[in-house]
Amino acid sequence: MRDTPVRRVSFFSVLVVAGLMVPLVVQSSYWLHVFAMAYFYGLLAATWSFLDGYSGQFSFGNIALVLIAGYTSGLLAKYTGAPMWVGILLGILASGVVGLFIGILCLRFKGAYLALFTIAFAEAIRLVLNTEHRFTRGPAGLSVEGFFDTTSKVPYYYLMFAILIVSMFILYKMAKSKWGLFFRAVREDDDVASALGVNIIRYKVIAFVVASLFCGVAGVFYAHFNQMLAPNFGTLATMGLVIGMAVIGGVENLIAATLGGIFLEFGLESLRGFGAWRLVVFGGLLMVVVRFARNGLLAPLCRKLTGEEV
Amino acid sequence: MFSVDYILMQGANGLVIGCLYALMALGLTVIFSVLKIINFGHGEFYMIGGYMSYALATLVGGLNPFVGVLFAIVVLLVVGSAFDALFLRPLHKGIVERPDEYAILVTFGLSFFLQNLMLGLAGPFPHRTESFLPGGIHVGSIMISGDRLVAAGVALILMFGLLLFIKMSWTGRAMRAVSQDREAASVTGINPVRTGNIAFSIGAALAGASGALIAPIFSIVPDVGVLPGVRSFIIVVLGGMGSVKGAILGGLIIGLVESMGAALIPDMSRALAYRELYGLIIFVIVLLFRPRGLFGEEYS
Amino acid sequence: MTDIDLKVESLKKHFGGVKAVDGISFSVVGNELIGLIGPNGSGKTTTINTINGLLKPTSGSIHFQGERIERLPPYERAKRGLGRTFQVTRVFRRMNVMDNLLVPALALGHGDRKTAEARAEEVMEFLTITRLAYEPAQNLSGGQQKLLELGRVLMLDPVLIFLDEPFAGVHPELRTQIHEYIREVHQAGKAFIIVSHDMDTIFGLSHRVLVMNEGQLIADGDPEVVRKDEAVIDAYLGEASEKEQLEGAGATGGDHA
Repeated sequence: MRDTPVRRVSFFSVLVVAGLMVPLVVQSSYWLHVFAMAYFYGLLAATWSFLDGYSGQFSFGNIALVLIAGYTSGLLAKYTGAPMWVGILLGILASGVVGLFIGILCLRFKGAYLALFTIAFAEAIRLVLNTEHRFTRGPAGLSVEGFFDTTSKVPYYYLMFAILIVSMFILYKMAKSKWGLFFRAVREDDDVASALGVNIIRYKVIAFVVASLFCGVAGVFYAHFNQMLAPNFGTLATMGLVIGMAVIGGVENLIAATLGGIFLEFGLESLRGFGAWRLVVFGGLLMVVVRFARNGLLAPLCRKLTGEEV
Repeated sequence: MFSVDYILMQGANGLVIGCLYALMALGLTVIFSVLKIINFGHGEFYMIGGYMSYALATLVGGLNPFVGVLFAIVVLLVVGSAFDALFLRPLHKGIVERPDEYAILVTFGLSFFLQNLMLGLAGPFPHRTESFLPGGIHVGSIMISGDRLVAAGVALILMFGLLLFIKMSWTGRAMRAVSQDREAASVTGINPVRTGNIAFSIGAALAGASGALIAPIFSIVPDVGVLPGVRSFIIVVLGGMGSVKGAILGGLIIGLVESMGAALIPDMSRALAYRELYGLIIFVIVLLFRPRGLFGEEYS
Repeated sequence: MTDIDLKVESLKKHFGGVKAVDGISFSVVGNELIGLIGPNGSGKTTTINTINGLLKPTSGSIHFQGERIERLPPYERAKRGLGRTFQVTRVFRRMNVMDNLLVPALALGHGDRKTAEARAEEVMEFLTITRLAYEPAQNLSGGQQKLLELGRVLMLDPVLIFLDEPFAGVHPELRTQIHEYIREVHQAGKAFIIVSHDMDTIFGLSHRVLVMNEGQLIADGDPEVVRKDEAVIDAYLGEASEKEQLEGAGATGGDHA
């Protein structure tokens, strides 16, 4: 099926307008917070989809990169007098640089080995952040200054929404460009892609760096929004949430993965009363979707609504 | 700095706990050999083993603690078999695209599911089971806790039993055949689906046994399996994927490294926390410089 | 027309104790049409994998268009005009036909998407698969996937193409079609090295035949001469059907265009 731009543009416009109107309808501070976190997870799910669904690299490192960015910004603010925007920029840069490094190392790994290596990386980061508590405040948490001098969640909502829209736009454009074709070819069969002239090294690393930069963006937002950073946010459990969200939404479809993140975070928050059982359902849902609906639950719907493959 | 005795004791303890690490890693190896997948839920099988041992002791008081270990093994055989039948069957049939990704997702989903299931059922508070052999045993000037010694002993027996089984039994031979070449094996009448199921169940049971054996030593909480899970990956990579010798030797090495490593850093609080880091460092070094590990094949 | 020049010297590829390719040497000059045959396990596919870059040679050298290429990754060799297809079709299953074709064209970087799409349309027309342009590759039949693989490698505009079993598992009608396509592309100035067990077609199509056995090159020359070569017949001893094919091959007079 070929592109139908009109349908696509209308679909996205509706989403954007709806998003802009939310704070007018939702007054509760708590729910606005949930919205912002839902967008946060949506962005992370998109970065994971970009890594696995588009370039075939199964990474457990996204949350670690979030923490790296957040802690860079927070620690810089705490120990130097630097203005917030410096911390933010350096935080994002730090994620990008670490992502570049890890991405290059990951070139030598395939499949489960890549996953294992990124698990080691993520655990190492969490460990160091926890143990060097004299510096990072460890499990007690590092407090970080908020973006805005207000207790209202409204500006944070709009900020994260804007970040999400802009990030998704960039990622989407990349996915639709020839780079997107190369990523997909690398994912499908990287030996064949290479034999057909695709510089698989360059594109694997690009995908990694891009995903890492957006994890960094999410990370600095989280730091200055939550105003508290703790290493245990970076456990494999949190990473598992992100992976699950992307896969349940539809890992090969950027929009589906993002929506998966948003809806599932809402679902999880709404069911908070059920405690651990909602995560039991989440885990079960992940297994069932992988087994019976590998493409994800939202992907077919997204394709219909946007009229294309993405 | 430290007395020879202290270092020897740490070393002995390391070897002893290493036997348990090896048992669990052996389970992972069996699964990898036959199914060609890494079971990301392995840590949770260990955790369930611990809980089952505790559950039996609570439900039926006065039993020999070893029965708890047996019970854990049986439960994990069932759980492993069920999970394999429900979710891994397509892999055995070879009809899955990107099987690596599939396996990671489905076993990781299981890990999530099981951890939170136990959290829901048993709550976050730690549990502990009865000791096998209270008190310590003196070997020369070193003291090792009775529990650890017994656990290691049983682990060694189980590992030995497993190796015999793989070498001698018809199923064991079927497993070896499938691990070498699934299609060739199926042509000779071996059912790869059933063989895979058995292999996965055995792997799960070994992890569960490991958890049940350690239950008297460390407390059981729902996420008690996370570190052992990561550790078993490290061991399997260090020893070489699919290598039985590698899993056993790797387990002992990691046990030693963790114990000795803790002894060698003067700053006590950091040393303990960084125990895990030693393993991770070895892991990364092996992955980067000798991915096939000690005994793995060069071309896999 | 570009000069074509491949020189393989003492190429070896060992896997531990297994000597898959054990010192082969040959050259290709100009737009030759070469058949590469040999019993199962003789090292034909390993040879292609080593020349195309998927495997690193244990020793030996490969010169292509005047450059030493054995240290280059596959994509650099593809960019220099070395193309190959695969024994078992490896199309990008979840991408559609058009996207499959666009990947190599865009990877080369000559021109933009519009030019690439135009070229893809030409190739699809040539192979008569235009109507499948937006079908996901996994929905294609086996034969159609073979055509897509051929089309994909053509999109690279290569000078030398390795075809690994292009006729395998393909019904006779399609086989004739593929035979024709190869001839046409060859006449447009491209060189081919074709691995096949289909003796009839190979002997009918090629100007020159290379025979491998147990990792070594045991014959290299005119099809008629090779067919009667003692060593070649010996090599196929035990591969009864192929031996018969050897003896009967070309007897019905294929064309040496």
